[in-house]
Order: sequence, then C-alpha cells, then structure tokens
Amino acid sequence: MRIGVFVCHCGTNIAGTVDSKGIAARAAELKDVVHTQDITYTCSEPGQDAIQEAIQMKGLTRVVVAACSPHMHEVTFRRCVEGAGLNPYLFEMANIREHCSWIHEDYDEATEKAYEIIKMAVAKVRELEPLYANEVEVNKDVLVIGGGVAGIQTALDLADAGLQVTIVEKETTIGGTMAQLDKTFPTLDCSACILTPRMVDCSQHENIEIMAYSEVERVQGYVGNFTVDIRRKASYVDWEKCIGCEICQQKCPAKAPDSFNEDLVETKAIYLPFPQAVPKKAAIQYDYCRWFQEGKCKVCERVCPADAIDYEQEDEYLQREFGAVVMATGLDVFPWEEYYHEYGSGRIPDVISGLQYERMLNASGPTGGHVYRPSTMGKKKEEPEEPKTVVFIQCVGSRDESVGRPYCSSVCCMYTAKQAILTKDHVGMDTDIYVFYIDIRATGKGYEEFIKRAQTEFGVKYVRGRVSKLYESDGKVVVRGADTLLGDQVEVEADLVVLASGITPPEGSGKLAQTINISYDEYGFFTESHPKLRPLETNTAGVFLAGACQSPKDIPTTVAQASGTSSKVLGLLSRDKLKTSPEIAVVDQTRCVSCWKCIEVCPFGAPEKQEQRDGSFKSHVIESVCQGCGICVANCPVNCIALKGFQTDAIIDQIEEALLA
Amino acid sequence: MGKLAYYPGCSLRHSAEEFDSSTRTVLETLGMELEEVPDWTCCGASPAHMTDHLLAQTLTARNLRQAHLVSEEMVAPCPACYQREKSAELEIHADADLRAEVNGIMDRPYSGEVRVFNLPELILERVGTETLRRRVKQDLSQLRVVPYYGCLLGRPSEVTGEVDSEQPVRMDQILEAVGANVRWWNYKTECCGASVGVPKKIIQQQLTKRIFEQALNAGADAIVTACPLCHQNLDMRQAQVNSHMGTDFHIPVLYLSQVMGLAMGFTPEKMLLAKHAVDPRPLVRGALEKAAEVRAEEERKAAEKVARAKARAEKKAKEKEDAEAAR
Amino acid sequence: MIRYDPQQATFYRDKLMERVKEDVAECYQCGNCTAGCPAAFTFDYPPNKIMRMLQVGMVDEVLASKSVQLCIQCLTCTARCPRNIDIAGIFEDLKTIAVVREMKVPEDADKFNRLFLQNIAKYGRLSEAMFLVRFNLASRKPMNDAGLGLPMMSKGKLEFLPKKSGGADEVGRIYKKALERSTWEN
Repeated sequence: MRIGVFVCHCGTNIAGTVDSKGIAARAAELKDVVHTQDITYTCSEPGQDAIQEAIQMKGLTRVVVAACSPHMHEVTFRRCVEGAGLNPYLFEMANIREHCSWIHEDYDEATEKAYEIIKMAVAKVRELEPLYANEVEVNKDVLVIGGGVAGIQTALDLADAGLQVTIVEKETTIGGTMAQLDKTFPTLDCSACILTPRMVDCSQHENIEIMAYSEVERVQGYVGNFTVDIRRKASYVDWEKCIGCEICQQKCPAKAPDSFNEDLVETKAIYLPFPQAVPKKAAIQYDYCRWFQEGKCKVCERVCPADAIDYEQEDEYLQREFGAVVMATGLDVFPWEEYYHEYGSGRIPDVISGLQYERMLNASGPTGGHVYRPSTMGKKKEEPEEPKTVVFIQCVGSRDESVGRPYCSSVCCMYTAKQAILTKDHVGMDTDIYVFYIDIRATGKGYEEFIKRAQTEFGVKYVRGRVSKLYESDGKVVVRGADTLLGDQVEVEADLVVLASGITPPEGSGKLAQTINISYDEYGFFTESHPKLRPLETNTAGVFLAGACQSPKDIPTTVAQASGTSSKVLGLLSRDKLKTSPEIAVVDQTRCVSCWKCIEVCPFGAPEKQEQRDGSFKSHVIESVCQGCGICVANCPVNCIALKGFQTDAIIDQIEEALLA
Repeated sequence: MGKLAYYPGCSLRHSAEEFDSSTRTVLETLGMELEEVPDWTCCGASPAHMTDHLLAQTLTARNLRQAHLVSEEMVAPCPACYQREKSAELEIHADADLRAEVNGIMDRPYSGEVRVFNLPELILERVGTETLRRRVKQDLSQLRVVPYYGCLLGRPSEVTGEVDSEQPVRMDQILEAVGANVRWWNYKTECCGASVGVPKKIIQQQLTKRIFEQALNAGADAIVTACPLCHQNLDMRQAQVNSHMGTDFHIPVLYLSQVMGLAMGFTPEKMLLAKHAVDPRPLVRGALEKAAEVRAEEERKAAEKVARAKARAEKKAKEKEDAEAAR
Repeated sequence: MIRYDPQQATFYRDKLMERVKEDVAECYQCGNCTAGCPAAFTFDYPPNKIMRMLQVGMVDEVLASKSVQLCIQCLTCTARCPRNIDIAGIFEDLKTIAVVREMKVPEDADKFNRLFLQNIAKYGRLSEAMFLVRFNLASRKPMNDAGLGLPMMSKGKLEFLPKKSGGADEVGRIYKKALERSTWEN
C-alpha cells in the first residue's frame, strides 16, 4: 500500500484560507502515505505531470488529490492516473474547496478541517479496489419526439450522417408552430416557404420515418438500448389509401374546432390541417363527427374517391428500439383567456392572441391574408371591415408573476414588430398602430435594426407602459394604458387588439417528462443538464433536448440548437459500444432474500429478477442501467447490495477517522 | 346553524335603510336567525385605515368582541365594513402580538375567533343556488341586469374569497338562481369613486358615468349592487352626474337583497323601492308584466301545438274510416 | 436636475418593508398601476412615478403630494401589478406617515378623515348630517352637496340629531390611545 497525497493551492481559492503547504507536509505522518506534494494548480498540465511522475517514480498504488469538488475534476484526475498506468478507481478526491476554503473564514480552523478531510480520504482510498468500466452494445436508431422545426432539423442532420431516425409527431402533420407563421423576423421570409422544403426532405429521406398522429406511451431501458411503446392514434382514415384531395373536408357537414387556425374559424370534423401538410392525410375528430356522436351521416365515406374512410379503425400500438431520444416537443401559446380577465376573458371578439393574428395575416389562412375585425366576420349580409387602429399589447403571460409566469418569452417583441409591419403592409400605411411595451428585447442578429425599421420606415408608434383594462364602448375596444415616459394615463380606441401572448410548454409536458424519466421545471420546460456547459443534454443518459421545449427561443436559435443536439447524439452513437461507469451496485446473490425491495425503490429500473439454476429468482443489477445512486443499497433489508467505489467498509473507515481519530 | 351576529354599520342604519331592511327580510325568510351586534360602533371605514393601522384594527376588533357575545359568526352586508372586519379577523387571529396591542387599548379584551361573512358569500354557503331556485315565486326573466361588485367584493381574493378578483361570480350565481336576466359585462369591479365623491366630486362623476355607459352597452336596464356607497354614488348622485356631465341616464340601481326579495314574492313596497332616487318601480312592474305576457304567449303556442297535433290525428283517423267505408 | 438621495431611499425602503412588507425595489416601472388607477387623472404624480420617486429617495415630495391624498384605495393597482406589489398598501402607509408626522398636505381628504374620526369618537356611529356640515365648512364649500339634502330628507335618509350609541365612550378612548401610541419611529 503506497499512497500519494497531492494538495492543491488553486491559486488563492484554497491557499488563501487553508495552509495547503502545511497540511501536505503533515499528511506524510499518515500510515501508508509515502509521497506528499503541494501544487499551485493541480489540474493544469504541470500539475498532472507531477502526479504521473510521482506514480511512476515512487510506485504509488493509491492516489488522493485534495482540491476542488469531484464534480469539477474527478474525471480529469482519473484520466491522469490512468495515463500513468494506475487503475483510475484507485483514486479519491478530497474536497477542500467547496467544502472548506470557500465557506469558512478562519484560517486556522479551516486548515484543521481540511486536514481532517484529507485524513478521511486517505482512510477510504485504502479500501478501494480496482474497477473496470462496462461496455454495452448500442442501438444506432434515434427517436425524435416532435416534428416541428427543431425535430426536423435534428432528424435531417442525423439522417444525413447515416443514422435511422423516427420522428413521432402528435398532430397529423409535421411542421409545428413554424408552419402556422406567416413571415419570420427579421428577414420577413415566408415561413412556409423555408419550412416546407425541409418537411418534404424529411418525408423523402431514406433514413427518416415519420410517424404522424402518434404519441409515445412508455419508455423503458437505458442509454443505447431504449424500448419505446408508441401509440398510433386512430384517424379513421386509411393513410395508405388517402390521397389528400380534401373532398371529404369540403363535403363534411359537421363543424369542429380548428386548432391549426387557433380557433379563429372552425374546420370540419374530417380535416386536413393545411395544404402543404406532410403527410397530407385526413383525420376525423371523434367528438365532432356526426357518425360517431349521433349515428348518422357517413358523407365522407360516400364521396372519398380512394375509399379510404375506415370507421372501424382503432389505435395501434407499436414497440420500437432506439439508442437515443431527442425531445423536440416545442411550445404552446399562453392561455390568456383564463388569466387576464381584465382583458375580457376572450369574450370580446376584437381582442385576439398573437398566433391567431398570425393566421389572419397568412395568405393561406382563413381570411386569405386580409386583416379583418373579427367582430365583423361571419356576417352574411355585410362585408367584414378592416381595422383603422390596431393596438398590440406585449408581455401577456410573460414577465408577470401575478399569472405565474415571471420569465420573458424571448420572441414576442420581435414578432409584434413583425406583425405591426405586416399590418401596415396589408391594410395600408395610414393605419394607426400602437405597441404597448415595458422593454424591447431585440438581441439577435439584425433584430435591433428591425425594430428601428418598424418605428421609422413603417411609423409604428411605441408606447412605454402596460395596459390595465380593455372594454367595449360604441363598437370599439377601449385600451386603458399608461405612457410612463410622458408620465400619464392614455386611452386608445382600437378596432383590433392583438395580445402578444407568451410561450408556455405544451399541455402534458410534465406527464411526458415522467414517461421519459427526465426532469422538468415548474412550468413544464424540460431541464438541461447544466444551463451553461451542457444545455443540450438532460441528466438522463441518452435523452437530449432541442428547441422551445427547453426554454422559449426563436427560430435561428432553435435550428442552431437542433444541429448541436444532433452532433451530441452522433457523439454518443459514433461507437458500437458504450462505456458505462463501474461505480454501480452489485448484489451478493448468496445473501439475497428475493424481497424485491430494490426493484421497488430503483428510479431507473436497474435491478431485475434473475433466474438461478435451481429455478429460484435473485436480484441482479443491470450494469449499464445502474446510475450508482445507492438507494437500493440503503434499502436492502439484509445489506447484500454493495456500491462499488463506496463499499460499506470504506465508508465506515472514513467515519471512524472523522469521529474517533 | 346557530344565530348569526348581524353588523349593519353606519350606512345601513340610515342612508341605506332599504339595503338593511331587505337583507334582514330575505335572510330571515331563508331560515337564518339574526341578532344585531350589541352596542356596535363604527368600523372606521376608509378614514381609520388611512390614519393609523392600530386605530383601524382596534375599532374593528371592538366589534368582533361585541359580536362574540352573540355568536362565533358575523355577517357584515356593507363591503367596506366587511373588508375592515375581515382584515382584522385575519390579522388578529394570526398575530398574537397584534392582538395583545389591540387589547391593550380597548376597555375589555377580545379573545374569540369570530368568522366574518360578506353577504353573497353567506348566501351561497348557507343557502345555495338550489334552494334559491326553489324559493322563486315571481318571474324576473325579463329584468335585464348587470351585477356590479365594485372594488371591495372582488379584491383582494385572499380577503373576499372570490377565486378570481377580476371576474368574481357570486352575485352572478345568486341573480341567475333567482331567475333574473344577467348580462355579461367587463366592468364588474371598476371603481365607482367610493368616499372620494365628497372631497373630490369630479373623480366620482367620471367613474360612475363610465359604469352607466358600460351597463347600457351590455344591454341592461338596471344595475344590481351590494354596497351602500356604490349605491349612493350610482343612485343618489345619478342626477348630479347628469347635470354636470351632460348625460341623461335613467338607470335604476337595485340592491342584491331587493332583487332576491322580489323573486321570492315580496312586494316592491316591502323592499322599500320607493326610497331610491331613481325610481325602479316602473321598471320592475314592466318586467313582471312582460314576463307574464311572455309566459302567456308560450302557453298559447303550446296549446296551439297540442290542438294542431290533435287535429292531425283526428284527420288521419277519419281518412282511415273513410277508406274502410269505401271498401 | 435631480440629485438622488441614497440614504433617504434606503431608509424608506427598509421602513416600508418593515411596516407593510413590500419592497419598492421590485417595481420595474411597467405603468400598469398608472394605467388602471381610476383617480390618477387628478394626481400630481401618477402612481408609477410615486414608486419611482420612492426608489430614488424623493420621499418628502411624495408625502406632500396630491396623489397620496387622493388615492381611493380601490386596490386596482395591487390586483394587476405583474410583480405582485401591494401598491395600494404602500400608498395607505404613506397616508398614515403623513398623519403621524403632522405634515401639511394638499386637498381635503385629510380633513375628511379627521372629522369623520372625531365624529365617531364622540357618537360611536357616524352622524352623517353633523359630519357633512362640519366637513363642508372645513373645506370651505358650504353648499357642497346641498342639492342632495332635500331628496335625502324626503326619503327619510337623513337624521339630524346625533345620538350617542352604547359604545361611544369606548370608541373615544380607543381613538385617543391609538393616536398617542403612533409615533414616527414605529
């Protein structure tokens, strides 16, 4: 047993509060310690060289580095000792920075504490055994959940790299929110023009399979080996036969909500969402179909030229295997009608949300791109009116703690400016447009210039102040706001009010996260592994994030992130085998009593019932699934599970060193 | 369900006598036993809490103490008194130091745990819409009203108990249950000016003018309120608004309890409608008459339908007979 | 030229946090309070400006403002503030600070409050006629609301002779003791 102890100064981070030199010297007194050294920056090249030299020169069999947190550099130092020929698991880190120098002020007391921490580390390292990483076979297929622009980008990148990708999308078509937009800021490119070619690429790519109108029901397994249950929802139309001619939609007598058009208008019970849908297939909304609800009709079956209607169709369940999962489930719009009752709770027809207005501006939308006052639409004898005064209100459902949404939705300032410019374009330059804002956030490339264009070239009037109330009076919507720069209340009589409603995760995000076993925050956004250093991965190995499901963001950022995510997936799946950490639980099957408590408590599904030769069943921990959390170790009633790298004896020695020595 | 302590407050005693009387009548008819808080005194309303916090809480605590002599539950129909008494209830019961301070300047201490109700809350909790529906004797379906909550029956929701302070629903539920034609409007909780109508009249006039406009916009003929100060601003001062703002409003303002009373069969006289500045009696009479007409018309149409069906059946029978006879 | 007074700012920020548990630093000046305030059209400074003045320490101007005096306490600002600040609570506290510091304030709201309280301290319950006469004199508008007098009388809504109620003496004592206890330091 030849132990080497290296104590870091970390500049003044440690040495400013702890006498690194002194305790390094004192460590020589400890049993079995044959080499001690203090180093200014141990993680640096000279520092690591010093460790390797000592291992080779002095034949060290165990190494302790007293420095920062293992979260920072345990991996670094394990690699370092491995490079010198020592098993990397015969290494222990003593945290004398986060656990000592950074939280105490008294030099003498901190030094004493640091020395005790080192003693404990030495006591443990004596008990450690060499461990060898496991290898597991890897499935190279990738599951992308969500077919919006993030999912599409990731899928195309991965497919181009030669991997087989399956996109599971809950609507009948891919495209997501971007397909609903008219133009995109700041270039005012037509959204569908830039997106639909990508959508078609996906459908034509030999490596991409699109499973539309489907949802993920269950995920089992572990990184490299996920088994996923997918439910293909019944559309009551045989998609093998459907040619997307839309005759059924024209002839259907039953009205139904039109979620693609954000309920600005209604669609029919059998519908195709929009003309460039991929796949372009019809589906029946069960709750609105007269055949299913009343037993009469069947007009669609009669008129369909391809004989594709199938009322008997049922949900289909499939099971697939994947090596990695990418979450690209996108966003929903904040349901302002349920919170902003001072804006009329959705009952004032001329008050609409940003996405509803986007559908109105869209040339292939329900009004053919004409901007009308909703209160004048749908009247048989009168022409719908164009508005002369339009008011945009920002931060509806964002930056607002009173509705539980303190965050900024990132895109609304820009999309409001875009919609204001388009309004001037569609209705006329003499339209009066006001934008009520608190701050303008225009951080992307070309964004600030775009805002300036709106204000100068297009004459949009920006008013700094929030709006307190909207109410109807004499056929107009009265906007009661404030102009804080002038220091007064203002009232504007508007023909149309557009609320820049914020971004919120889609309904059911929390439940989906639980199915996939990833973390999510109080709003439903999925949690990244580290906001700065690992924004594309989750803490669940093999599951990655792309797009707005992680946090509100615009299209350029989404596309960039999606490509970044695909490179992470490629990194994971570039080898045929994956190394997994050997610091995992192992069951002593001679003592296991088959109580299955370990299976009950494991959050990852690592322990399994393994059949023995005599027909009995004992617990066995699947090496590649176990994450080494230790819950089963603590719960086993007969103490027959050990956590490699944290054996009971090692821990007890540490405790004794701390309390008895 | 024991006795309820009844705290009228200064307004109900005189200038809002019709609110007091109709509330007592309705609550007692619905089976509640009321006893006026013995030796009750003014809750302090706005002037107290705008002058000194301890003063405000003590004036209200005194009434809670007096109420406790009668019951553990107190109803304060005036929303301003309710807010004062409720805020005292919430603060004093939770903060022992404040209770001690308050008790220190009263003649006798308050040691109870009285719960304070506001009127709509009491009605919905103790009576409920089902019972109200069953007690309806007069048809108010042609009386088009908007419920005006004012500031203090909606906000803040921690004190009033309404789920959403911008869209309170209790008055709507009660009015619908007694059969009135309740119109939706977005002006339920916009301030009428409250007591500032005395020191700064122009504020109150501007605000009530808007309320009248919104009520008419919503298709209402009358405004229903449950606050004596709102009632005074809307009813007593309606003529002032007309003369100073150049308008010509003639909108009766009814108390919630009066509408309930009328639905339950009490006469306009019993509900003291004559005390209002803007006389609601013609409107109420008209609404009841119209409702009777509408009902009569419906009955007539139904009878006609039955007669027609009978005639058809008879015709068919005769045709069958004739056919038989021809063979 | 404005000169910020960081000491006053900090002193009052801490005082308000202690007295009403609200932090003026949370205000991001969105203007929602100003937008919804029914009385703001009579104020000298709109509500969001009062919050800003408190943030930078212009406290004396705030306490001497019409805004603080004319606030009706309708709570619309508090209900709609996106940072959940009880703005009405802050205004209420500013009113009481002006009272305890015996400051001279504009408008007649302070006279209204004082005469009201004196009235109930004497009679236990508000004696409206007596109070209104007194207030009209104090605010130098003797004919204020005179047009309402006759209709109110004919409907029996006005009682002339004030009557002392059972608890009047105790109310008088409470009034006196509460005001004795309120000092600026508390």
